Amino acid sequence: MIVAPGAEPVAARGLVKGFGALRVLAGVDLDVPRGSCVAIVGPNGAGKTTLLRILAGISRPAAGSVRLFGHECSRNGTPAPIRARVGLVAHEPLVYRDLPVRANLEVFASLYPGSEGAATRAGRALERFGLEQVAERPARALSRGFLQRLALARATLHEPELLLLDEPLTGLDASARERTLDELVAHRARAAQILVSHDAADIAALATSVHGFRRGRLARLSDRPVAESDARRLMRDLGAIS
Amino acid sequence: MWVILRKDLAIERRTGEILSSLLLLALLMVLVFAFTLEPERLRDPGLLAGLLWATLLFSSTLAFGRSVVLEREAGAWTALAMAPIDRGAVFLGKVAANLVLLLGAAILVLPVMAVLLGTRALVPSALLGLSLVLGTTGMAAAGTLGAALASRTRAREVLLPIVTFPLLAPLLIAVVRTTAGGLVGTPLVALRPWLVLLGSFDLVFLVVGWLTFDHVLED
Amino acid sequence: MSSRTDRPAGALNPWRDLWLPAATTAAMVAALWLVFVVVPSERVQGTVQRIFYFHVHLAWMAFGGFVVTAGASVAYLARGQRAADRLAEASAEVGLLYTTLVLVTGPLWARPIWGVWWTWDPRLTMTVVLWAIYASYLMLRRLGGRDEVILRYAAVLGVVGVLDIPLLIIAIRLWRGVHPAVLLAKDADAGLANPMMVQTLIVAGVALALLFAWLVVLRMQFSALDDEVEALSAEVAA
Repeated sequence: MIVAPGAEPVAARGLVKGFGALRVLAGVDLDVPRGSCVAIVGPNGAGKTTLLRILAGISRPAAGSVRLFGHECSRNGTPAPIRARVGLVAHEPLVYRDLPVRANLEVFASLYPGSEGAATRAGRALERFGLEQVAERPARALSRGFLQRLALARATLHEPELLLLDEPLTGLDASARERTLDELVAHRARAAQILVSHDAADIAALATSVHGFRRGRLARLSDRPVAESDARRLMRDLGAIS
Repeated sequence: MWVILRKDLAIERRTGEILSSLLLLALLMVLVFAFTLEPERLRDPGLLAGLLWATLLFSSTLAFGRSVVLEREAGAWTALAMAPIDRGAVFLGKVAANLVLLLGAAILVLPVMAVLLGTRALVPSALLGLSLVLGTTGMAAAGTLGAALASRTRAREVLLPIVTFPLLAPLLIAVVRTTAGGLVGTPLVALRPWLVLLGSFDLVFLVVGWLTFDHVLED
Repeated sequence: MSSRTDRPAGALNPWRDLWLPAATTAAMVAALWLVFVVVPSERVQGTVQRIFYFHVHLAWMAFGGFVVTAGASVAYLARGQRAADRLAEASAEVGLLYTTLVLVTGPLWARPIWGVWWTWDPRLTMTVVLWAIYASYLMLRRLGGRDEVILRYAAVLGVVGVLDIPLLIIAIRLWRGVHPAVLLAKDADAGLANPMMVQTLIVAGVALALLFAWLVVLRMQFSALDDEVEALSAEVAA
């Protein structure tokens, strides 16, 4: 890779985003070191999703800079080799509803470079999130929990070194939730994560630090893991939950 | 690009909805023409060329709109934008998929129209084939771009034809002339300027779409 | 939460709010006076020919407006400056207004001279298709609402629209045959017959150009004000 291995996965400075004078992000700074999972909390519409989309390279900030793995990405867009190292779990599953689960994973696997074939990588992703039993079913026919698992499997197909998670555990039943948490914690050890969530239990289970949105800016609320009750209190202070 | 093409065709193979609706709509248009214009007056091959392209124009709108909805409905579009591939290739892949469907529809619809409208003196020729290929390519390129541009708005079904029809004006003027020539066996060289124009139209829209799709895929 | 530019869009700007409107009004009054009072009627076509002093300028300025839109769109795609987008929108709107006026004044002249309101003459066909392209451009913006992505999509359409023009010209030329530009040439010859006609043509051109510029500037100011209002109401709501 063209980038020094030690470069920080995310270093964002002074990010501004908004339509004209109306600003969703008004100068956001964020650092995500390797091996960490930064939780971002805040009320709806505070800019959490906007921030994730900018870091994912699908939206460009009006001002400010984003460095991903030491590479400047905000001005001319995120270059493909950097895009290959980022994964996103969004509100929507980001798949084709008319394609079966396995075909979906194969399509997206073949868009990423890899030493193994797309089918092999897709098969491994199926296994990792327990999707074998629904592999041939079209995404349209999946239950909410399986659809979320498909979204997770798709986002982690290419072993991203930076994983952006927007409410990643919604709709999962208790056992799938446990299994996914284990996967995510294991993944964190070799990569970096950003977690956007309204769920204090998710934050307690995954986050290594907590940031909160206030008036378009991001403030550090805790620089170590928090207990569920503390996470709830932090979010209540911000008006993120009632 | 080939991944996108194969993926779109796989979806179409499973659902079959685009091709079947293209064909059904085209058939209905033939009926409409027969009812509204006197059937006796429709035997002229020149008129057949015009009706064929009007039919393809209207029914293709459906296909392009649907093909963008496939990308938009569960956010797959976002995943494509994130993938480490050239975003222009996404455009070319979508155009290729739409082209396959549209050209398939054109090849199926043309003989049906000729039979139902009782067109006289049909001489299928290389010119006809070339007209169909160049015409559907331009239509797919401009239509795919137009559909993408219209897809963000509430009224995308309305906006799609509004955006693409005027852009397609030069293509329509040219392709109807060459198709009519192809139906009656005009020698190819006689229509060379038209064919060059069609080729340039295709090239301009393929290149512009390829270059600008970076901006279209981002939010 | 929101921050505004140092200078509010509503602040008085002497160039924009005083000199440009004054110059436009003066030129327009002079042009109208020349066209309707001073200049003699052309011998063959009679009084109705006077419409041509405006018609010709409207046509090429509308065309120029769309080229400005395309240029500003490219700038917006490259740099993302709000001002470039405002210029693209304003120029397309005024361009569309001028195109509409071309399409109104044309038939008014054509009816007595050609005996028909409309014919598929190359220039007419061209104008009406251009009108449709830019109407769709503005429709996309209108239906898209306040959305940054729509601005970029509109910019793409602005560029595509202008690239379509040469293809359109060739297609129409091939279709209707090379229609000699007799009308303009003849009109210009006739105009040269009387030096007053040339002067009138120039003054009318200046008046319409100033009007174009003034309308564009006003439209850009309006869209800047609109943004400010939006930002203020968001601030109040927060």
